[in-house]
Amino acid sequence: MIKRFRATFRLLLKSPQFVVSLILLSVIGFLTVFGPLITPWEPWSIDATKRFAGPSLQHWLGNDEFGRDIFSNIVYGARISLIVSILSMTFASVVGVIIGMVAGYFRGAWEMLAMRGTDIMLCFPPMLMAIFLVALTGPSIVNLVFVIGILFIPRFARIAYSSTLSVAEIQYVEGARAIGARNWFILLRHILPNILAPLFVQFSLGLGSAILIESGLSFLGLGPPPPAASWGRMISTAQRYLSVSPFGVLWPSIFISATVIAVNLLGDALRDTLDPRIRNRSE
Amino acid sequence: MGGELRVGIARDVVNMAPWLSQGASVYIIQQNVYDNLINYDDDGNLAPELAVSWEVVDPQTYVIHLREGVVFHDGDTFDAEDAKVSLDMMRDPTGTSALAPQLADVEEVNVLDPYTVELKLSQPNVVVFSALASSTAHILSKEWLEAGHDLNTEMNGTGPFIFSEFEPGVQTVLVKNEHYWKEGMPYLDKVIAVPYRDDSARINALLSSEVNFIEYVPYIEFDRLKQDDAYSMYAGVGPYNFLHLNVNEPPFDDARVRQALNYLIDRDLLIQLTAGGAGVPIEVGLLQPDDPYYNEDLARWKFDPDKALELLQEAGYENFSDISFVLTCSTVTVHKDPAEAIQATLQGFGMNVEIKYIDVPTLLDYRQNGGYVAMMDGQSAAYQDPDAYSAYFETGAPGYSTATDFSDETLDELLAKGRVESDFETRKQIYHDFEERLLELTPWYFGYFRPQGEAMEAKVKGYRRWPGLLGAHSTSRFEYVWIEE
Amino acid sequence: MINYIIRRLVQTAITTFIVVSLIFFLVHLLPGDPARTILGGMTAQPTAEQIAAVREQLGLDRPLHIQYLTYLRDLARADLGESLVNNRPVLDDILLRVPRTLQIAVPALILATIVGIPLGVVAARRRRRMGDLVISTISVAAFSLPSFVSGLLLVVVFSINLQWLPASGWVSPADDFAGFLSRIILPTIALAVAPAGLIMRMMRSSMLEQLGQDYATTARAKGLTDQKVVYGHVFRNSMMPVVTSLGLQAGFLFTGSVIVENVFNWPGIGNMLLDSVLNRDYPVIQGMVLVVSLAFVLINLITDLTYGLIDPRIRYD
Repeated sequence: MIKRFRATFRLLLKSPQFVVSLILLSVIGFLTVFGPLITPWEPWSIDATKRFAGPSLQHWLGNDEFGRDIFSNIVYGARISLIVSILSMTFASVVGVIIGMVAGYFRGAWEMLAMRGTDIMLCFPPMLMAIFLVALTGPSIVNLVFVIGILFIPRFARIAYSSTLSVAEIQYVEGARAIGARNWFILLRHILPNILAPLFVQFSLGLGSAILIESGLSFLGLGPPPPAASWGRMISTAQRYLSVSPFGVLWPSIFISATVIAVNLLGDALRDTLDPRIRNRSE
Repeated sequence: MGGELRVGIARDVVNMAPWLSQGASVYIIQQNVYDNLINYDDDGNLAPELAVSWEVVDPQTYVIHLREGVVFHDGDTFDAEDAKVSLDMMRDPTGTSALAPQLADVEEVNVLDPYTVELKLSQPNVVVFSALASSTAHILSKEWLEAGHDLNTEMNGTGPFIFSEFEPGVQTVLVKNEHYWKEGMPYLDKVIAVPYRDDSARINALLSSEVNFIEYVPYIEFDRLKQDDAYSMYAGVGPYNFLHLNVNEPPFDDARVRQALNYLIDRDLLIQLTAGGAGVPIEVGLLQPDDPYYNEDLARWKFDPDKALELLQEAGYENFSDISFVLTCSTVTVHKDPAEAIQATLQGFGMNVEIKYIDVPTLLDYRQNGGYVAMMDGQSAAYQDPDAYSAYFETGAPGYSTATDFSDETLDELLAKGRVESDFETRKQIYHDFEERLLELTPWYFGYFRPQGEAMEAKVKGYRRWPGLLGAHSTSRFEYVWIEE
Repeated sequence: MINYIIRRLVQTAITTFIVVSLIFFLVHLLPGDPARTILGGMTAQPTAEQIAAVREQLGLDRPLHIQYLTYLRDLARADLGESLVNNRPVLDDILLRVPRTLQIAVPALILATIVGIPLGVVAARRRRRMGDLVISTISVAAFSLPSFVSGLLLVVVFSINLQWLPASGWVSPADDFAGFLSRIILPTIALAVAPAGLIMRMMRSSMLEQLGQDYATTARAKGLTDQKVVYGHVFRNSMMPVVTSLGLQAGFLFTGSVIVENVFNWPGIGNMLLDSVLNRDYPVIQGMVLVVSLAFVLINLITDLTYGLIDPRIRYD
């Protein structure tokens, strides 16, 4: 087992995607975990004399419209942005994959129930749903996870569904059925591993999209309330001051881009390496 | 002279109905189509519009003499019948008129002759004339009203421009009224109002010449536009920001805690952070320093953390950190920014403030029905008179009192007295007493007046901005504006 | 096939009914009141008496179930009602707005497809080489910027600094076709960036998967050229998940354009949706959700039918 893991890892290291993403993620991870120890500034401490100040020795990335230290806001914001994206994708993928697999495998009434159910979810425009939740309960990190997660459930479900449809028709699955294997066994053992690749891609893409959706919601005033400074909220505030200082938009954008690029490259690399069918070709 | 003025407005017009208080973006359209009986001159004093003069015959009888030779856009001649019908609808308590509470003392409106109307009051009320000068006191045609036009989608006034077209989200078009009663005016051939909800989109529209005039310039652009010769910029202070405090909920059920908050949150800092320094702190009540009723001696809300701590200790708290509360705030930028700044500065003192966002309709609901401990809000006076206080602090007032069951006999008495009193000095003293009592009770955190400005390309000439708080209504006078080619 | 379509249409009717009912009760659950918007909104201080009068006039004081039944009855007559705040017929306004959103959403989807699919194919074929890394990184970088930032940057560069294209706004193509074209360019690009990246990545991964399949290996072993293998079988089979994602993207573009519409002041359906919620204009919200849900269901139906065209093994029974 360990041997196999090591072999996979060695294979991964051959992929430039993986190496680049590993480096990026290490830097981001380090800042997220240890950043608050590095910076002497509280993210909320305001200083009217330093509004829109450029980068300096004390404030490495400069100051925002309230004179707050941008660097400390970025490292604190990293936690919120990452937590929101990881939790929302986990929530969406688990629910979505179960729905999609059940629908694609059992077909019949299950299929109709599951697929029409996701249709109903899709029918509610995403922004409307976000606006609704905010109006009902106010925006918070938990609500964001919920909103973004719900947006992605149909995606996972549909991808899992269409892949399951294809895989379920493949001869060995039909064979397993014929010899009387239990359904859950077939689903977990034969189908799930074979549909993982597109789901992996969707998950990694989703991580990036979640960060972006969060920033879009912040732009519309639906992001998490302060002092929780997510990257998205930082950008959406700073874009109003773009003509005065570009730094407020620049830094968090760089971090968002770096994170999105890293998780996507990671997704590619994992997918290329783990998928048995693709691996065949590279060896 | 002439030309086509393209105006970037901050909010789309949803409804053309008269007498509603819908804010500056809508006044640009409605106030250029409708006229009032009374309006303000350039110095901010009451001046004739469709009225030529008015007199107080006795404290309960006011007579207004009307202008002759004015025609509505549909050709109907303006006379006393039109004024009566408009006034009657304006004061209908179950109608939609924003001025109904201010005109509640008007018992009947009588037509004395084709160009004279008489107002009979149940008790003296000197606020009536200011109310008639407000931006929602539109005069409509009786015949047109009776013909059953849809007030939500049609307009027929006597103003400098004729309503021609409304396309939701795209534009509202006004065209020149060739028969306007002011000689030689208006100069512009056409006014096209284009809604830009997003601040950046609106400023970009001006910079890229999509429009040649914008309202609600984001404060951050003030300096840049002032320095640029290609643009003219007019600014003053407009609405004020404040916190509603719930006098029935801890920690704000104790007046000392409310006072402490007023000493603890630095208004100058808020103005620096959220308005680039271009605001005016509220140190007394809601009257500006240039208001004739302003009381300099009362000015006391200065930043003083020691005093704040002292008051808190009197109220039984040991430290700032013993206080924590939820600050409810709408997601509108001009509310969000100061709320965030307040949270950050209080956090600096160790006070724990949690912000709860709500959307605008919820804010409107909370204003009247409560549901908050502290809530950020922004308002501007509905009319130029210290009686504007009554919309918030009189018992049962929809702006604040009903939400928190706030009620004070002294305040009610003084407001009632102020409405009846016609002697300026006596009246001034009444409102000074009122403010003194109000500051004692401190139902709000009194914040600051925030800047409000309009910017236009340099070729747009003739724009006149009113002084003081009236400035916010200046876009209602496009008859003076022209474009120099 | 015909049976399948009929059954799906029946399901569509049921789905729509559920959606419409859900939304009806959800909008009435929201705090806030359209009467306050009608009476002036933020800048007004209406009295309780005035609010009650307006509610009565609008019929909002009737019991909720009566309002619901009335709504269903009107709906059965294809009457979506009138806006509470400005009395305009809901259907008219929706039909006015939908084409405008499509005017940027359709070009954006086409643009995203014609950019995304070839790039995905190239990246897949050059897997683990620099070409792949570069394309992958650029595609991700392109959509890793929030659309309001990329939109704003487009405006600053092309409208304000270069003065090449208008910053915002919409004009009717019937009035001024050149003006219309110049105005759709920037929002279309801003809207296309994210789906282009997504389609490219979907295409790449799906293609790789197919290249690894036995049939591709066999075909190659039989001596078919790489070109033939790739563009013959592999490409077609790779399209399946891409079509899924296209379907979802189409739906997302339709409503997800809110932000781009905001930045470019585009009077489309996204802005209308935002306004209607902020006005608590119940009939408008309901009408829009109805239209959007019908659009979604139809897009899904088309997507599902496309599966069958691509992969004949899928049965429609």
